[in-house]
Amino acid sequence: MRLEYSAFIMPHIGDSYSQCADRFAIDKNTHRFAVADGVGASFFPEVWAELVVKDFKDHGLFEFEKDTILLREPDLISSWKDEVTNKISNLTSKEKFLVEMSKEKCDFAACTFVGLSIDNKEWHCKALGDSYLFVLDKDYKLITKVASQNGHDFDNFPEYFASEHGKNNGTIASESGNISEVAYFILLTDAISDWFINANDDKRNTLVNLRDRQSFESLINTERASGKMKDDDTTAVIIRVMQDDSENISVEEICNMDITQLIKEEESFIVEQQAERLAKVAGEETTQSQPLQTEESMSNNDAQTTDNIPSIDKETDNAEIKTQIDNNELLELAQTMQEYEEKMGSIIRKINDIPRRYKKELNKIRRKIKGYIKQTIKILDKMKN
Amino acid sequence: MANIQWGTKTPGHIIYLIDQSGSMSGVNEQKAAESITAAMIETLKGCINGKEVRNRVYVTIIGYGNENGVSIIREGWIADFVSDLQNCKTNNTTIIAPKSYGMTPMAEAFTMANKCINTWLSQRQTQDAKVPAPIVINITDGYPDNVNTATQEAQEVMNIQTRDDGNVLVFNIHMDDSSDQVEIKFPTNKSVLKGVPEGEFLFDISSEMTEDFIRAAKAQRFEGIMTGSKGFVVNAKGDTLVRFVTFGSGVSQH
Repeated sequence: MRLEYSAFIMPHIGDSYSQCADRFAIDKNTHRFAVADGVGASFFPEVWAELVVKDFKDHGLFEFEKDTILLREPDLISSWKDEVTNKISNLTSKEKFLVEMSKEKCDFAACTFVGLSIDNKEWHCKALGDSYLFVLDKDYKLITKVASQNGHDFDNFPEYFASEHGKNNGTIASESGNISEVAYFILLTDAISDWFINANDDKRNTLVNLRDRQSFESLINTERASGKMKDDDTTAVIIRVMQDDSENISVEEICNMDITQLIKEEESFIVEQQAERLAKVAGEETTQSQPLQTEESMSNNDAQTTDNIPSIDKETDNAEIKTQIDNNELLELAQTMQEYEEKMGSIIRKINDIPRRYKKELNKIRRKIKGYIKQTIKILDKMKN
Repeated sequence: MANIQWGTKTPGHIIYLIDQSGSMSGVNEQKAAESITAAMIETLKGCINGKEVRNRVYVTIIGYGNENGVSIIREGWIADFVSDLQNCKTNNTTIIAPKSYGMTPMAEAFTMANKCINTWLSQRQTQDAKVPAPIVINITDGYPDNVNTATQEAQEVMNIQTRDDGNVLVFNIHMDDSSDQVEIKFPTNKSVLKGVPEGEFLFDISSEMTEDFIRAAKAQRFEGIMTGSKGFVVNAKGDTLVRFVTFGSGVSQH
């Protein structure tokens, strides 16, 4: 038997991948596939969702206890606490306040779950909440669908696994079947499950046959725009089953949108954008043909605000900065600038937002940024030496 | 109606009207400011996603009776208030300064609320996304300067129809901490308000509770609410005030 799989993930409209609380995990050797949807109102749900799908991937299907408790719950909870503590320690003061407020509302994480295990003869599924497994035959006809909330409305109150003992909600659905009639397994989180249940055959078949990220994102964007699919974190793992005479199961990856990699790419992109923006700001400052204020008035204004900033060399211009930093160094510069993240983030946002009538403030901020850039260049120079 | 859940695509609009007339002097001005602060912190909690705040709620705070007559004290997305709310939480302060001065121009406050709501709706309703009904929460300790005009202006606000979510909602809370005045919460008819002139007035300018409101009010430990109850409390004590303003602010925040 041969399995081909594609795994897709897409956050809410306008959200980054780091804000997405869906997770999936796949083990090609043991033929295990899992999807979890972190409950948005809970505390660090994406961390919990990641741990739960990985646990399924590593340990398999039947190690649930009493149908509601994950067998390795203490270890999972301990890992979740460690990771959350680590994440919080890296936050800014404002972010810590927000996290604290969020914790006051709900101090544990929750996620829905659906896991599938396939062997030569049978498939086995366990599910909790409104994440679904759909099983189709070769004519795309539905053989069965599995979810603990199967048939219930999709709402904001799903059943879930919780990162606190005794807080699990609901009873796990469990189903098995013969593999011989199956052509497709589809694991979906809630919004796309809701859509799949109500979509016409053409749309369903489009999803089932997706093989690349671009097509997936195009389908989701279209269906969200039409109002047929709710704007929510969206995950789909699609497995095509091809029967042959072999007793072994081979698994081929067609597409795998690894969220860890996507988040890294996203962060690199943000760092590059910050660096470009910083360089642009420095360039605009020095090449302005019509300054917003006279140099004299700027000096007067800056006297109150730039005490801790190194003085700006008037000869420093964009060309000089460019000669000191090539593109790779610019990226390095931006990474070093992460140390100034808390201050810089708010300053950059201010630049984007404030209208021209706040010219004095704008100039103060620009001069501050130049000061930071110069400090960073010095750090870079020291690093080189 | 009024059942569209607030979200980034469908943000809500809360307008607080706060009585800052001379009679609010002392405990009441402080408690009113504290209740809005507490409610805004709860609203913020509902808008946090991870370490970020989503623009799910736009807040307008209108003061009436202060030295400026009627004015917008604060306005913005809930995300704009994070630093101030952090400061309030840390230093036990309030999001607006407690004030008390002059008369009680409640009618003019409702007129200003009307303008704010129409501006909001005219901006939001040009877009495809659904627009939830704005919510007005009026906090007062007494009678307006002109009852007839205030009733008329408040009812005009209540009669504003949104494109997608029914009428604008108006909730009222009348503060009186004195022990001889019994709290009357969410009455269904005027008969229980005989001899309580503030109550009869507020009955006429408060929206009726729907099932969603009743559920939200019960979540704030209010009892005895039923279909047909009006969204107001007379002679509210401190704890009731905070719970009421929080309930009104979070009614569409599931």
